[in-house]
Amino acid sequence: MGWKGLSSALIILFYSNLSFAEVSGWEWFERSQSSVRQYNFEASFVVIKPNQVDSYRWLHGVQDHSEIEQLMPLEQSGVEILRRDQMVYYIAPEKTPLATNSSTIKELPALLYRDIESIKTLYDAVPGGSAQLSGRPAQLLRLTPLQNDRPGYWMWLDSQTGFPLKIDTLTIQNEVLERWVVTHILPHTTLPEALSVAANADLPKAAEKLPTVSLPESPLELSWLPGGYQQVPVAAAMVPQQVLEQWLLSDGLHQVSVFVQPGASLPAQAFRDGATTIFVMPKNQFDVTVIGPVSIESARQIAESVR
Amino acid sequence: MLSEKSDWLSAASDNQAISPEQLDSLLQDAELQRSFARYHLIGAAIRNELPAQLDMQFADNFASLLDQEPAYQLEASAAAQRQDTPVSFWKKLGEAANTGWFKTGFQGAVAASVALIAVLGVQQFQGTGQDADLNSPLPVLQTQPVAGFATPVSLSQTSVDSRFEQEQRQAMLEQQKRLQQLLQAHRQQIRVMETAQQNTPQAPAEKPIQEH
Repeated sequence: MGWKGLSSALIILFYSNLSFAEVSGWEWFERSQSSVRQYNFEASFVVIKPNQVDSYRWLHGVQDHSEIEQLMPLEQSGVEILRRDQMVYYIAPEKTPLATNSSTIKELPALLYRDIESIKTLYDAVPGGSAQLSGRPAQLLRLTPLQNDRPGYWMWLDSQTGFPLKIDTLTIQNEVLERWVVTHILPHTTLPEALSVAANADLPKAAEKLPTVSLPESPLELSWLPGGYQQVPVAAAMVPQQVLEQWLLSDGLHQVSVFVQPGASLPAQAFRDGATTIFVMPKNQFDVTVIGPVSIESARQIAESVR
Repeated sequence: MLSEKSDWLSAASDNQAISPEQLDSLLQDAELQRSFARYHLIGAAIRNELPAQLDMQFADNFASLLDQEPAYQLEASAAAQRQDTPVSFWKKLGEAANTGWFKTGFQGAVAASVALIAVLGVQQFQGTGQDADLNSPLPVLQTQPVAGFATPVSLSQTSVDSRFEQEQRQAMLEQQKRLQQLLQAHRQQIRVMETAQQNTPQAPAEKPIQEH
């Protein structure tokens, strides 16, 4: 009796495990991550924020095992971004292009590119129902933050390919902060023609060396970081003037900047740019500004911890 | 009480001009003075400028302070006069108390002290307002719109104070310009994050970078 019970329990466990594996959230997530790396496509997407809509054209192709990707803002005359494997170029008219080392274009949703293992430490992936999106069946995947401080993500993935069709960034109360929606997609079997120019363009092979200007030594330090965040080095050459100190924090998926400036005696203020919180607070004779996808409460806590 | 009077009185507590007659009546009518002080308190409360702990002895402190103030002057002049004619001075004072001149002077002293309370009272509320911002659990968040960049978050609705609207708007614009710049700098740092990480352990490089 005992043996029978145990073995049937094991069998049930085994099968339920199997059926789980079939629809596992992380598997969907992995499919979506690999789809944006492996397919040749031409797409357009919009980023919707409460008072702003930005549209982009997005091209991706693979040729001889190397990736070529291009991102162009459609409205504002902005920078055009080109990636060839590990190199990303920011090309603005009449300006020397900026070349950086990166295997991803940072203006695309970071979720689609960051290491899945590090995302697993921050989020829980739960598949939801399926829906119809842009005339295609889509699978909903909910990424719920394990700690309350991070935004949640709802992703709608193409049921066949796993390609991301829509990504909502939400507060813990499930209010949409920012919406990323693919408005048009055209798959190609080979490298899209529009990319062939970019593929062969003569561009610097190595990242420009950032000058190692170091910020003047300051006695200030950050005494509190939100859970999971670490300080990462900042490029001192890019710290704006009048900023006495800048720290960059990262949890592997999100980045938060902390700036210290001479005080302008203004009250504490908070703004939202989509999912990004901008919080400024007077602290002693300084103004501390925190920018990043954290809650206002955490931003305030970070700012308070500057000493 | 007199509702048509309280209109200008409330306007006056918002730092708007009042006519000399109105000023006179304010200076003479104790009831009005009390309402005036009350309006200031209400205004301060609405603007969230009240100190975290309202000092209940506030009025008493001032009363004692004011008691000391004019007393010094009176004593000094009394002492000076006493040296000359110590006896006749008190007589004179007794007589003078009934004359119109002395009455006017005394009223002037009362008016001055009321004005002092009003001015110092306002300053006290404004002074503590900023500290309260730092200490309160959630700071007073301004809710002015930001043109084309970020939506202000309205955790607490603060009524815009017309007195400071102009200057505030100017300061807000400056502020937004600064924040815009910082937002840009934040994005820029994210772009070069990997390069910066590779650079840190390495030896110094000297080529300057151009972007902007």
